[in-house]
Amino acid sequence: MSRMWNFTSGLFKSEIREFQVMFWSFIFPLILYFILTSVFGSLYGDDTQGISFRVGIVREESLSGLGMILDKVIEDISSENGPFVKKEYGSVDEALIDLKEGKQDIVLVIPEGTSAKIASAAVLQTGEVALRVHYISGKDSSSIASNVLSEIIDEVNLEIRRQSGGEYVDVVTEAKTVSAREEKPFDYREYIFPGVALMMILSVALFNSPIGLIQYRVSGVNKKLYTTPLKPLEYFAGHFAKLIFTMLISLTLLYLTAIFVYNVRGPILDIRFILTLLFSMVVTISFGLMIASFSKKLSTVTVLGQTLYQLMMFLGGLYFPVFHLPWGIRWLVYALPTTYLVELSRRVMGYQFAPVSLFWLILVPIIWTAFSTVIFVINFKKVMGYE
Amino acid sequence: MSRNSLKPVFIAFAKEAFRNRLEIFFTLFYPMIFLLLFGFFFGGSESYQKVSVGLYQTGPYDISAVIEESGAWNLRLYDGETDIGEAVKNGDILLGMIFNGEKITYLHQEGNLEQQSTIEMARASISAAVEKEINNARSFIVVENIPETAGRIHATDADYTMSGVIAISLLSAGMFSVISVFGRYRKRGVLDRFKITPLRPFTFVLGSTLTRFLVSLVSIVLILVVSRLLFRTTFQIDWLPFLVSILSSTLGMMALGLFLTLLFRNPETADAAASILMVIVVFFAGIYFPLSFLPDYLRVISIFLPVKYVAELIRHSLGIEFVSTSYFVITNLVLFLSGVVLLYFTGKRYLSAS
Repeated sequence: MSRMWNFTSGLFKSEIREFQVMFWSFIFPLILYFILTSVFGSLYGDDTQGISFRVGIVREESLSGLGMILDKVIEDISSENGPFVKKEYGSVDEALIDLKEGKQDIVLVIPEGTSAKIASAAVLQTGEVALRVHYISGKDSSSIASNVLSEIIDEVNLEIRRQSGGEYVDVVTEAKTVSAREEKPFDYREYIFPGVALMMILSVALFNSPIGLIQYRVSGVNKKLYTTPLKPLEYFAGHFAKLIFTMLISLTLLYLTAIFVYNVRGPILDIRFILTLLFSMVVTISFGLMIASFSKKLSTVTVLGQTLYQLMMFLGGLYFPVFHLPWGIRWLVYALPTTYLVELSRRVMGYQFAPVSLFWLILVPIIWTAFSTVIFVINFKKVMGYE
Repeated sequence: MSRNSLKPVFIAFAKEAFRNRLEIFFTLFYPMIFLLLFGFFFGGSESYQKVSVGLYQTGPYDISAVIEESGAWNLRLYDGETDIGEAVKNGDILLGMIFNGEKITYLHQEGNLEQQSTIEMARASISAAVEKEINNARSFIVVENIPETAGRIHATDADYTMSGVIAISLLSAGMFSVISVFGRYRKRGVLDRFKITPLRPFTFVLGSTLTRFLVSLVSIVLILVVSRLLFRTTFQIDWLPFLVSILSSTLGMMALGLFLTLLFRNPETADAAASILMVIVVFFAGIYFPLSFLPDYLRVISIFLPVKYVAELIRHSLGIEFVSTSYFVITNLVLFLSGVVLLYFTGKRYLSAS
C-alpha cells in the first residue's frame, strides 16, 4: 500500500511541476469560468450594463413641440442605464462612413419635418413619422441594435396612446423557463458550472493521462519501472489515483471560485451533482486510456487529443445547447459521451436541455466506459511497451 | 553551400513543414475544426428562416392574426398549457405563449445563447403588437430599417465567422512556427550547426518566413473552399490587398511568437504561453461574437490584441467590411515591420557566428 502511495505521490509531484499541467489543469478552468460569466452572464442577468450599442444620431431638423418626445427618448436610451452610447453627426454621409468602418452599430436619422408630422399625427390621428435606421446586414451587433431600437419605438407608441387618455388595458407579461428550476430565475453562472467542470475533467483525461502514458513508454521510464517490484495493477492504480487527485484539486478551486466569488450555491453542493462529476471522471479517464491505446507516438496522441477535446467540448453541449444543430452534425452530438455527462449534471440541477431520458443519460456513458476499457485492456501490452 | 542559397533552404523548410504531421495538423486542420464548429454554431443562414412560436389563448381577444400579420413568425396553435409546454421542451417551437386576455405568459428554454436574442426580440415585439391591437393604438412613429453593407458584399454571419477563422489560422501558423524554429531548434542545437555554415542568417530567416507564408496561404485557401461549399459564404477576394494582408499578418504573428520565444527560453513554456494567448484571442478579439457583448473593462483588452486588426484586414480584403486606405496601409506596415525587425534581431542573435 505504501509502495503504491509513494508511486502515486511521485507521479503527481512529477506532473504538477510542469507549468503546462499547472496552468491547463488548475488555472485555465478558473480563467474560462471568469471569461464565460463576464461575457455571457450579462446577456442573461437583470443587469444589462455589460452590453451597450453605439448609435450615431443625425438630425435633419431641430425637434420642437411634440417632436421633443423623441429628444426625451434619445436621452433616455443613451443615459447611464440605457443600452446605447450616442454620437451626434452633422450629416448622414459622415455617419454612414463611421457605420461602415465599425465605429457605430447603427445610425438613426431623424428626417426633416418630423416635428410637424408628429404634431399632425397627434391632432388628426392620421399619418405617421418614419425614422430611418441604417444597420450593417450580417453583423450581429448592428442587427441586434436595430431590433432593440425598434422595440423601444414600439414602447414609445404605446406610451403616446396611454398618455392620450381613455381606457387603456396594460397587457402583463411573464416569462417562464421550461428547462430551469421554476422557483428562481435562470442563473448563467450556475448553468455554466458543470460545463467548465467537465471541460477541466476532459482536459486532464484527454491530455494528462494518454500523454503521460505514451511519454513514459517512449522515454524508457516504463522499462525501468518493470525492473522494480511494482505490479501493473499498482502502476495503473497509481496513474488513476493521480488523475483523480488532479481533478479533485482543480474541482475544489472551481467550487471555491463559484461559491465565494460568484455566490453560486444550492445545486452544485447537492451530493447527486457531485456524484455526476465523479461519474464523469471515470467515463472520461477510460476514454483517455482508449486514446492512448490507439497512439504509438506522442504526436499522434496530441493530434487525437486536441481534435476530440474540441469536438467533445463544443458539440457535447458544455457551453451552448446543441440539439438545434443540423442533422449533418447533430448525429455526432448524440454519439459523444460528454453530451450525456453534462446533461446529467444539469438534469440533477433541475435543468433539461436535451430530449433524452435519464436512462440514456446514464447508459450511454456506461457503454462508452465499457467499450474504452475493453479496447485499452486489449492493447495494454502495446501501450505499456511490453516486449 | 552557397551563402545565398535561399532556394534549397526554402525547399528544406517546406518539406520539413509538410512532413511534420503535428505542424500540418495545427496549421491546416486545427483551424478547420474551428471553422466547422463555429460555422455550424454561429454561421447562421443567408436566408431568414421563420421562427416557430406557439399560442394557447383563452379570453375575449384572438391575437393569432396580430402575430401572423408581422410575417416574422411561424405560428402554431395549441389546445392546452401542457401541450405548449411540451412543445417548447422538445424544441418544436422556440417560444410558447399562453394568453388569457390580460396576461401573456411566455415559455422558452434557457441557456440557448444563439436563440436568446431572437427570443427576447419575439417577446418584445409580440407584447407590443398585442397591446397595440387590444388598445387600438396606432403607430405614430415607425422605424424604417435600411440594411447597409460595410464592404463590397452584403455579408452573412458565416462570412464574419469565416474571417475570424482565417485570423486564428494566421495566428496559429505564424506564432507556433517560430516557436518551433527558434525555440525547439535552438534547444536541440540545430541552430548552432547552421551558425558554422556559410549560410547567412538573413537567408535562413527568409527561407523559414517564405515557408510560413506558403503554409498560411494553403490553410486559408482550404478554409475559403470549405466555407464556400458548406456555409455558402459570399466573399469577393480582392487579391492584391488579400495577399498583402496575409504576408504582413503572417509576419506580425511571427513577431508575436518571437516575442514569446525571447521571453521564455524554454520552448515548451513558450508553447504553453502561445496556447494561452490563443484562448484569450478567441474570446477577446471580437472574432466570434461582437465586442459589444463584453463588459467595458474587458473590451479594452481587444485593443492590445493584434489578431483583432488581422481580422479587420482580412474582412477588408474579402469585401466584408471596408477600412480606410490609411488604416489598411498603417496596420499592414506595423505588422510587417514588427515581424521583420524581430526576425532580424532574433536571426542575428541565434544564427550569427560568435
